[in-house]
Amino acid sequence: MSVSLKNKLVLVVDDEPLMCECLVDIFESVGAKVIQAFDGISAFELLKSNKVDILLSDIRMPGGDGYSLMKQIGLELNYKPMMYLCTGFSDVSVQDALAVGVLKVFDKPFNVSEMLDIIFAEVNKRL
Amino acid sequence: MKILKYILFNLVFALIYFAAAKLGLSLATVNSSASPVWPATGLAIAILVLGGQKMWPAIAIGAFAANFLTPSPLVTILFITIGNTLEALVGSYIFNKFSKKSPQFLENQSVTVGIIAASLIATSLSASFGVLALIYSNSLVWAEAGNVWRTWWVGDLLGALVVAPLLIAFGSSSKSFKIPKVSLSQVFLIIVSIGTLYSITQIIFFSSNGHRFLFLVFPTILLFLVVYGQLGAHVLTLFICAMSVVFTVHNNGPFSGGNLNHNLINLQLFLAAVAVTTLTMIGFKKSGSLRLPGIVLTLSWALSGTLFYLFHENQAAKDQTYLNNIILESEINIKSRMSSYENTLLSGVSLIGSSNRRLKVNEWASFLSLLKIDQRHPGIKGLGTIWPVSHQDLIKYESKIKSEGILDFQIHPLPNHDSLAEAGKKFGNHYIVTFIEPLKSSLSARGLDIGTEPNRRLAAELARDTGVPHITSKITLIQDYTQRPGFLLYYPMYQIGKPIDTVEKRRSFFKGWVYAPFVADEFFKGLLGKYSDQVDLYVFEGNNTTSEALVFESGTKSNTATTKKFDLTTKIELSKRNFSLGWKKSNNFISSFDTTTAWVGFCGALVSLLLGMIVVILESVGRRARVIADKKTHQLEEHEMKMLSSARLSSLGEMAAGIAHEINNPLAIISVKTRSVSSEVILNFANKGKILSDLEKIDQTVFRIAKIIKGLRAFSRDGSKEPFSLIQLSVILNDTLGLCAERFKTSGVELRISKIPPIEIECRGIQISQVLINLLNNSFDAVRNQNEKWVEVVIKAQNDNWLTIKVTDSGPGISIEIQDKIMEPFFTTKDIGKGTGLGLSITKGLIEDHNGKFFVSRESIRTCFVVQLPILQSTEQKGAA
Repeated sequence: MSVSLKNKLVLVVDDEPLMCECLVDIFESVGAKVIQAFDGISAFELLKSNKVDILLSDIRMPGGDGYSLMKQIGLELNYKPMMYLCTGFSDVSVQDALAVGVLKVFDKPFNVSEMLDIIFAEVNKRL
Repeated sequence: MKILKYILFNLVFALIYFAAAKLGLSLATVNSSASPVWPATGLAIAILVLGGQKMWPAIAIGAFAANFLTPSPLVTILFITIGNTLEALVGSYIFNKFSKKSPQFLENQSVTVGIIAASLIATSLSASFGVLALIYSNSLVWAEAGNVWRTWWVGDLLGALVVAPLLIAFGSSSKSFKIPKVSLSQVFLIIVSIGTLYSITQIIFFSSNGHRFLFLVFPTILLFLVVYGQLGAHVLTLFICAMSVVFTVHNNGPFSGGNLNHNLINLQLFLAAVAVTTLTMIGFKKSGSLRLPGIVLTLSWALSGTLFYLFHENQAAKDQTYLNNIILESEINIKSRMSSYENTLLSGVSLIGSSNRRLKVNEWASFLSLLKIDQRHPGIKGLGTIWPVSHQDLIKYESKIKSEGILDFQIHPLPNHDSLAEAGKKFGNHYIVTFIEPLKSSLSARGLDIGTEPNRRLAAELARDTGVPHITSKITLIQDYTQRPGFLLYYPMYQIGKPIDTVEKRRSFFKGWVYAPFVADEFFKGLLGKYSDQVDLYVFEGNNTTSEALVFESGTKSNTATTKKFDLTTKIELSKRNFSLGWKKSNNFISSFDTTTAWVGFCGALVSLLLGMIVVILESVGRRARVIADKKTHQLEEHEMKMLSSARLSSLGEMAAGIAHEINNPLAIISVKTRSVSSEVILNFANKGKILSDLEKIDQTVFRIAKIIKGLRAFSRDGSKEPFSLIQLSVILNDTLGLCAERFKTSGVELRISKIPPIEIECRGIQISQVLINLLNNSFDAVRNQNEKWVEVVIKAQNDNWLTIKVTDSGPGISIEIQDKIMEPFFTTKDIGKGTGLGLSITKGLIEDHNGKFFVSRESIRTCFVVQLPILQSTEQKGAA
């Protein structure tokens, strides 16, 4: 079954615009609607003003890193999107990430098909 | 076969030992078996050292044979043989012990010390055996034992010290002997050394009083050591010792004259000093350069040599004064004796002149018996009268005297001279001895015409003409059958009351002479009085001291073997005749020379050696310290290198996370974009623009990664051995920022870089990168948790070849107390485990390697580090770095 994320709202967060552009491309290619933010703070604003289904964030960012964002979501957001972290370096342990509700931590560079499969599987699980 | 060789060698060495022993015995003076120098000892020790202790039979045989020919009983000879053999065995044993295993503190002096120790101990054995043996055979009494023991011991010791080292050195080096090539400067040195040797030999041995210049020997040995090496020094020592001994044995040279015992002690002290000096200097040479100890030694010798000279002169002056006093006294004695002779004659003159009538012969005889001249004036052979008689009156005179009672009176001439007739024809008169008493010793003189012999005639006439007593020149008295030199003393008589103030008046009023014959021997005997055994007197007639003119020699006979060189020559006038007196100190001369001067010299030589030894030890200590310091420095340098690399690593570790992140991000982008391009291709190139744009982004991203990798270069190598090269400043900055920028961005620290001057700087790029990374990291750490977070880098290139880089951060400044300390290694204000504090001191080192300056700016309230670098290195700077 090919991956499809139609009708899902995806928020990609990375301080590097080119990286965001790649992620937007990836999710748009499987039919999702994608919005992007370049730091944790503006990402949280977007989460409040949009019902985001899937959140994919980089960890190391100035202006609020991805890990704090996840924690903040758990504490302050009234809903919980599917949360994924991307990391260029394992500066957060997997246990800590899972403890705040992150579903999976992807290491950069990541295998796009694999990543999509995992997300798709999770989406199906929730149906 | 081996046994044959063994026996042969033993016999050969025994023969050599025998020869050496005979040589030593020929120098025996104190006791027929104890010599002042015994070279055989040195030979024996050398034989056993070189040939092995198994050669002891050679010594035993040689010693036995040598002593066999001395007048000693067999037991004595056996004892002495055992003593000599033991001496060689013990001496070689001790020497071997020292030369094999030398204690650390002795180092190269061990051979010297070994020879000295071996000599001292072994020789005392031999001396003890020898003395005991001699006492046992009653050749020696206990009272003399001490003296003989000392002579024996010192003789053997000197033989060992002088001969053994030379032979051992020669024996051990002969294997590697080759003719060395000689350069011009060496030829010059050889000429100088031979000239020096000739000069000092002349000064010391062949001139009078050479003793005071003995210290010249020491620098000569040093010179020979420098020019000819160890063997040369040994040979010279042997030469000097041999010369000294030979000259002294022949009562010549610097150790002769005066007390024999003192001379021997002086000689031995000198030989010991020379031998020890040679050995010690060779030790110095072995342990390093001779230059500094040589200078110290020469200065010290100059000092002690001067002291020695002054001591010597002082004592020589005292001796001279003493001798002068003796001479003065003796001359006074001589003059007074002659005076008394003249007075004796005068009493005769007075007797004759006191009455008008002629004196009768028996009156003369009683006069003389009263006078008792043989008791009072032992030299005078008799007292007599001489009357001038004209030739015509000769026969008449004879008869007249005969008739007065001298029945056997017969006028006769002196044998082998003019006959009476000839004399009468020549001179017209005769001088006849008429009275002479005591008769029994002078019978042949009565009736003698002394006018027939020119010397007698001349002196008589001089006396007559001058009115003053005269003596003849040296003659042989007619009454002396031993034909010793003698004189006649004439006292002229004149008619009483007549004026005799001119020669003519004296001749006209002349009556005759009272005269006395005397033998020179008996005249001068005993005139030296209490000094007769301390001084030898030689009396010569006239002004020359030729052997024909010799009239008298006093005889301690200790100077017979020498040339007749006198310590002093004086002149004296006795009864109008000149005599030359030669004075010589005999062996018993109570010289103020004791052995003090020699001991002063000996101690001076030893002190010089001690000073030299101190210098050598200091030098070797210094050398060792330098070796240790060099090693430590080397270790330190290695350690520093290790710390540098560990600092690099820790710096790298700090940034590893950031670098990994920086690389992974672009990789992810490349991966995604590649996938995107693939999908577009699959979709049949529909969106060409997107494909091209994606591909370009891939390309850019690749270079992004490459930049980061380049930045890693800063950590790949140490960089300190790399040459300086011209590098674009911007390249260095980009490398640095490629590594650091990510961290800054992630943590929200603003990194402000001023405009980079577009210049090339001559440097080691890697090291400059390391410096900048270090500074940026430090600043980053300082501000990451502050409210205000920024780091500013300002780069300015000035016209005077200086590039200034200022790294300022928003952190608080560095307090004054810490400002100086922060450049020190290991100083850190970070918590334990965070940062090693190495960075700034290493940074400083790296900048200084570039001839630049690194310091904390005092103008900024914030923390501001300033790096100043020369844009172009000058050639010297490059060399220095």
